[in-house]
Amino acid sequence: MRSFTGFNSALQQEHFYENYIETERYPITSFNGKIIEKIDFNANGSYTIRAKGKLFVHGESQERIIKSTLDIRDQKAVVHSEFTILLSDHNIDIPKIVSQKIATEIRVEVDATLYRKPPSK
Amino acid sequence: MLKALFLLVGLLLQWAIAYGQAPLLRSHPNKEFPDVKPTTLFQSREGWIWLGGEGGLLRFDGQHFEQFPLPDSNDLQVTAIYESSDRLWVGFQSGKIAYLESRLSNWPVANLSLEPQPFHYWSLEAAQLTSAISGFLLDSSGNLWISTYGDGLYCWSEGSMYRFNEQDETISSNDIYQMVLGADNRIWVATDAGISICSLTAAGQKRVQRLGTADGLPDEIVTCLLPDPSGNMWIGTYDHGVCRYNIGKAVFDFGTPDWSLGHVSAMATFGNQEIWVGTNKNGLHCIDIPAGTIRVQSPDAPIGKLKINALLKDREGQIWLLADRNNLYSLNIAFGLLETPDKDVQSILVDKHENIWVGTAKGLYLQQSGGFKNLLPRENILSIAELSDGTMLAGSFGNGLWIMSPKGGKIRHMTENEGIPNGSILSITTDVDGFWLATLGGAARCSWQAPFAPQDCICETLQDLGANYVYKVFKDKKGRVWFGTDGKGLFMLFNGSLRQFKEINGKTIRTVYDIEEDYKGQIWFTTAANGLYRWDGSSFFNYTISQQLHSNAIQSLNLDNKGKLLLGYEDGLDIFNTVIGHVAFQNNSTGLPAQSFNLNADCRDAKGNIWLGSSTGVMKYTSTQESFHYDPTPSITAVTVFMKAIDFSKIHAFQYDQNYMVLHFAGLWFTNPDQVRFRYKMEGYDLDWKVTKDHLASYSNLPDGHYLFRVQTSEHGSFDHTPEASYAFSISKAFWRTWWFIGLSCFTLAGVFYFWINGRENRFQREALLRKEKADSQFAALKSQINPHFLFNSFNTLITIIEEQPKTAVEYVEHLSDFYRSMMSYREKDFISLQDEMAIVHDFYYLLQKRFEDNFHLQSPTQIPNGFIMPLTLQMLVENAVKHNVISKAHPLQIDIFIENAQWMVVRNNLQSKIIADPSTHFGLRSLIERYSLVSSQKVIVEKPPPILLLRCP
Repeated sequence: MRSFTGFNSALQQEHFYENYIETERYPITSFNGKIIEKIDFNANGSYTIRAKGKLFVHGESQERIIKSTLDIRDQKAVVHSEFTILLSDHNIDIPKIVSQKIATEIRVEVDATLYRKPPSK
Repeated sequence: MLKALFLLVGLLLQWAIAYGQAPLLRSHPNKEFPDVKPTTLFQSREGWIWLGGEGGLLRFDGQHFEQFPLPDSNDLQVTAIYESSDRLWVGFQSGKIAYLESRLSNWPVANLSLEPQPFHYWSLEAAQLTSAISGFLLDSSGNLWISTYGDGLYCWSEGSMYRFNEQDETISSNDIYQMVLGADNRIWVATDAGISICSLTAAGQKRVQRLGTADGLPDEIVTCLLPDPSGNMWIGTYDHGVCRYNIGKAVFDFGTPDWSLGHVSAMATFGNQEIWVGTNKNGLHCIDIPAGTIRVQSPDAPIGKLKINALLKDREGQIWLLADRNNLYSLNIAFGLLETPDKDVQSILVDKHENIWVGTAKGLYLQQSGGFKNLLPRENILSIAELSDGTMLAGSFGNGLWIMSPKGGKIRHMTENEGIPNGSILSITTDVDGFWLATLGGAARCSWQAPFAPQDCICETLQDLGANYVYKVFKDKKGRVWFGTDGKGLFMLFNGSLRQFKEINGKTIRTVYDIEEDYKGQIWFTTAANGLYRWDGSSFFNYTISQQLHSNAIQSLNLDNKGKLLLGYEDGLDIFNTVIGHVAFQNNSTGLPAQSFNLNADCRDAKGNIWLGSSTGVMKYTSTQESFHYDPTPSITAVTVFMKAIDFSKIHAFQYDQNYMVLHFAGLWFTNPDQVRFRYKMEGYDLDWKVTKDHLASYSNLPDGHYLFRVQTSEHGSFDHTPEASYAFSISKAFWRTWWFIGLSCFTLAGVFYFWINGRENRFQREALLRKEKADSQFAALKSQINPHFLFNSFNTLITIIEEQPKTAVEYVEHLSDFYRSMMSYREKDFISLQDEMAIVHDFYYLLQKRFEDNFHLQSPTQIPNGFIMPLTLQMLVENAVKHNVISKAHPLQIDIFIENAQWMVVRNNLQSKIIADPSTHFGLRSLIERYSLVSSQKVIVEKPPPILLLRCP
């Protein structure tokens, strides 16, 4: 969880983790699901896929369909995804007094590179 | 190939981004049950709206929510609701299914506690469902289909459960968003991997056809399905909007490329003209099917910002939404408001290219591709018309007439100097090669030489009309031109002659505002103070508030092409359905977006929709062929007897003591629930109808008889031709009031009375007889005692004694006189004591003894008990014995008197009958016997065992 970057300031990052996501209580944020489209992982190419699963943030699970691009190149697959998490979906409260300064949603960008595991000998 | 075809078709369709007319959103906040967060909506056959979600199940009647108790209070998350012919089905997130008998689903919740267990779980050994239920469906063969989110599809057919899921490669995915019945009678299922169309053959075989992107489906993730009345299937997808599949031709023939409005979450149709689409973050939008365009709601309008979870179209033509955090809204989608740059709209026209022209005090606006362009700034436009070649005419207030090209370019401006009678033009209507103007200074006809050259247009004032206000000029299909004036009533011009209608049915019509013609050719017009009139060619019919119109001051009159009149007022709108004769009033509280309509600011477009100008913009009314409910539906929801609810669908007969009844009823009318009124009457008890706003009628002491309880509902106070619900029942008589009981008692009483009278009669008779007998016997006794024989014998005896025994003679005379005295005194008595009787007998014996000396013996008891006996009984018996028997030395007579058994006096003598009997009538004995029989139940017994004669007297 603590691996997020891209905050506007250190204070924002601190608030994000301590007050809103409350990583002390909920250290793990995860997404479990499956890819709806049928992808042949052996074929090189760029695909737009959608994954349906449960997004677990701040103790609340929400079923989401998340769109990503999948780039398969030989031995590795690169996943890039952009999606928003609505604070209200995951029980994250913002004190009213600062609500004007804080957006009601979190914009998330994910970049991941997957390496093909060599076949076991 | 198919894909190419689809793309081609997609390109050909128009894609209008112009913002559509926004319906008014009415909010129905659920304050009573904040724990219930509904995500699914359903309307049952009786009309109730059911909401299910986290926290349970609610029922809504338009005003209040009621929560229905579910079987397990830990398992409350409802995900699907459905109604079959006799049951209301509820599916849970846990996979459980429960049902409620339909009749119980109408009860007030308070009465449900009287049923032991209203909801029952539907349990199947065949399959255990553990995933959330997303839908139920009954197909035409009676099979029950259940769709789940995670477990695929189930079908319950004739006792067996069939499963369609990913594992057996029938349906494409186990997560089913929605399930509908297609026009082809197959089950269409929307999943993440396209559409699966399933059916079960009569032999129990599963058949599935899949539709995916390879077939032309724009997106594999299909979130909703909606069959439309023409037999097509509308498909809502996750990223690519809406498309339509023509089942007959097996092609996709409509699509929305470049869809950017989010995921489609729900859809509803409106006739064959519109599809309303709910999205997950951009609110509700409307697809105009014939035009192939989408009317997008402005993102700033409240309706454009909603996150829609569920849509329901109800029986009255409204759309219900569950949006955002489970808020309930309703919309009347027949009405949409188009906001104009200047809100106070004075005139409106939709031309044949469907461009919208709006006239306000600030100019003439033309709506084109997203915005309004002001073609005549600073002009006060009152009227707009379109000529057959597309030329537009705009009449202003004080500044004459503008002739414009179809795109809005000015051609000519005509003022009073160029021949029009007055610069204020209130109404324009087209005619053959010309047009008419209605102005504040009379009416004029303008024409030109063919071919049209507006520069050559000349106007001629109609002289006979006079120079006064003309509010409206109208040309009907028969070629007659009508004028509505101020002060002079209605005029009609036909074949050159002008006819005035001023006196109609006894009323003077001075001012006529608007004139229209309906599809039957009848002329309708509105007046300033007398409401609405209809002319069918020969007679006039008047419609005012007495005919349920909202008011007599009608601002605008318009007719759609299906027989409906729209009457605009300053504070609302009446929809008058002339075909069925029903008037429905609408305003903001019923979902009307605008309510203050301006005079004669209205038009009808080529499709039959009506546009009305109001003080807040232009309101569009979409008329539809769909028949909706237009009256509140009455229904009897519960019947309680002494506060205990009964199953009134089955029970119709009650005992005489079950006569405190309360009948609950409801009138469901979601358009305007506050206006619903009831009237009820108990046939057989009430003399007249009772009008009430309450939902119950109570009768506390019904006598026996047959009853019919009738209840009717109305939303405007008039109860003619309104629907009715009724309940028939009877109360039996108490057994003490039934005929047979009364008859029997009367009969018994009569019988008793009869017998009593009879008894008295008998008694009187007996008494009379007794008296007679007594009199007779007394008479006889007297006779016999004055019998000369006895006296003679007595005196004879006396003579013999006098000389020899003078003392004895004195005794003898004393005894004789005693005897006679006793006889005389006892003669009248009914009974005398035994002692007295024995005294008489002794006197008699003494007398007889002196006569017969030793030949006569009498033995009598020494102890004389207390008792009573009839007077002279024993004496008479002794006398009889003496009279009938020989008394001589050879045959002495012995008489014994003794008591037998303490009940009988017995007189016994030895029988020595005289040879020559004295004449005797046997009267004495007979009389004695008779008298005794009258008095006593025991009879005198005479026994004659020789040689003894025995007489027993009780």
